[in-house]
Amino acid sequence: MAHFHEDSETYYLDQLCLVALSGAFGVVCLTLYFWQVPMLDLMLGKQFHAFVLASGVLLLGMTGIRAVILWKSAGRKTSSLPLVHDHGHGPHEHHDHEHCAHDHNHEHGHEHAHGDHHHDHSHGHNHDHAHDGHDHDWAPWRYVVLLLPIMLFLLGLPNKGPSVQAASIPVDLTQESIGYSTLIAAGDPIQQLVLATVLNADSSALAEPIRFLTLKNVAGDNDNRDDWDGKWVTVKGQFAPNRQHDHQFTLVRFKIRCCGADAVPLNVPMVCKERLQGLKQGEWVNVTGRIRFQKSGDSFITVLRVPNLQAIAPTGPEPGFYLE
Amino acid sequence: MDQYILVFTSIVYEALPFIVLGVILAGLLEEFVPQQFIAKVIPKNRVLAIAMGGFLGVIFPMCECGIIPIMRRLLRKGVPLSLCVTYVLAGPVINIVVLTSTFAAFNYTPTAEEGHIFGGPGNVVLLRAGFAYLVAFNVGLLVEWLSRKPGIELLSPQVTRGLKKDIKQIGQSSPVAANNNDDDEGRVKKTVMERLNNITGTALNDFVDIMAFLILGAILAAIGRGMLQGTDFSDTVKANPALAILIMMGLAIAFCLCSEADAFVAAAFPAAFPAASKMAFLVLGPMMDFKLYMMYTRVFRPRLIWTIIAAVVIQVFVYMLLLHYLWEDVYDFFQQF
Repeated sequence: MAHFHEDSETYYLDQLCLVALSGAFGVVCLTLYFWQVPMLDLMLGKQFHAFVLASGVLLLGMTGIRAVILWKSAGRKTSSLPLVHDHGHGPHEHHDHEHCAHDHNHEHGHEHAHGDHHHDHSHGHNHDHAHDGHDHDWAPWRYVVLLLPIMLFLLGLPNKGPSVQAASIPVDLTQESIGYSTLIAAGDPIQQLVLATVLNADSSALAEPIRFLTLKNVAGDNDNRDDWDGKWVTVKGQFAPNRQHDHQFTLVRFKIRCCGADAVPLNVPMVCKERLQGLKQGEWVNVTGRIRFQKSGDSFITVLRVPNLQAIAPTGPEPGFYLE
Repeated sequence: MDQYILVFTSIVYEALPFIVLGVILAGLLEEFVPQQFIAKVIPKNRVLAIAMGGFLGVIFPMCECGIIPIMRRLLRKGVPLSLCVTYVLAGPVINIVVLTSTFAAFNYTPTAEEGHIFGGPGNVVLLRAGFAYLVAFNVGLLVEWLSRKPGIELLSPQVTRGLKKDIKQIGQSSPVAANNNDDDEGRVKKTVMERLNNITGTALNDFVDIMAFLILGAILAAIGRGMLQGTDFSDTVKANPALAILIMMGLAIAFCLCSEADAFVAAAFPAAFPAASKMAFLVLGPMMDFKLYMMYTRVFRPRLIWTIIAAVVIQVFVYMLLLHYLWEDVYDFFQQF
């Protein structure tokens, strides 16, 4: 007699859920790689994108093979019914079995009492599933848990990068104070005019774009710091207000190594001559300003001096989001 | 909420490729690697076997997530539990990828006040590898001692299910444990479809099993990170190295970072944190965090899990405290040569 695993109903249901969810993860991986790259950029560094693609392909491959095997196995189950009992009658059609003491509904397990029948259970057991070390107990909670990242993906999440924290990096305004004091102290109107022109000189039109990392690291470049001092540049980042000073803010970019969970914020402090308003925390902006350096302990940090509010222009997020 | 979701999904999708790789290797291991081969390769001397386990990561570099499904299969093939535990603890640290990224993370231009921690990135790498090996080796010895005690079951039923011989023998003191799916002698030659069936069945079941617990661990990690965000421990740790070490150990468990990335995070911590506390973060992180704990429950029984946790945590704390107080003297001593 060919019969199937005792809990064949839950077995096939379990396998169906397994195939469905594994396949769903495979589809999600491929969709992330080909069509949802911004979402993938938020979650993982670029070096991991190929791994996600490979995972998707492998998962879909395995689920495809498994689905075919299960389909065939289920087909064999259907075709091997009806059972051949040793009652002396042949293939199992649903004829009258009142004389039998057991239930001949073979759709589910072997719950029937055998009475005085002797079913031969020494069967060439062609198990279509691997028993090895995994649990055949029905544990649907696992599938519910696995649904969570899939549901988040379907909701389009995550769709934002790490949250930008307001930073309070103290900025030394002494230089500017000295400049304006000198201006006031200068008695000659011609001198005052020249000084005022120099102090308020706005060469932002000559600003050249600069990479955020370059701007951040140039303060540590002892050989070239003087070349950069006073230069007009434009840089992109996320706006983080300074809660203590309404003329100061920080431009933030995040650097990751592997994934969004290890993102580290990099900050460049900035000072604007006008009061900061109308800008939201975390908003992407292009900032034009003049590079200055400030002593911080034994080293220097870069500070960007922004002439006016117009020099801080909202813009869209950087493709790839994180610094490389 | 966005931050929680980002941390959660980042951890899941970063670990997923390694879990897929791990379960496929586990499936291939189950199907193709005979138990006799395992018995030949593993030294009969158990201490030697444990010592060898600490270096397996050099040959088989795997993320800690991918090692779990492989370890389940190795245990069923008769690899001693103590060797497996040593591999799981040391493997994610002592491999070329992680040590290279550790070097890169600490190879920065130091400030005059802080200087290079431990005298340079090379020393950081050596210390990280050395302490990870020491911790893993000692835990391996402890597990070996435990496994020889009669009447104590250490492995989860998910690992031992379906094995005919006495499950108490599995992975324990006998060098060759029973694995009756490996009746190689007189085995009927399998068809390709049968092999594919077994491999895919094993792999997908392991995938679902482990992913479920990874997801639970990632949820805990996201909640932990969210709660800690914005908290500045600098003032707390300045004058208290023991507390600093404990805080960094707690952060290592809560952050659930991949061992390739944690060095960069550790390097970015403020200078107020003593160097030994950063080393604690580097050594403990790959061995124990929320997601690993959840995945361990699919392999070990609670008694063994908590034994491993206690052994690892106590060792890391003690070693790092000693490192903090003795490093200068030891470094100066070796500088003479």
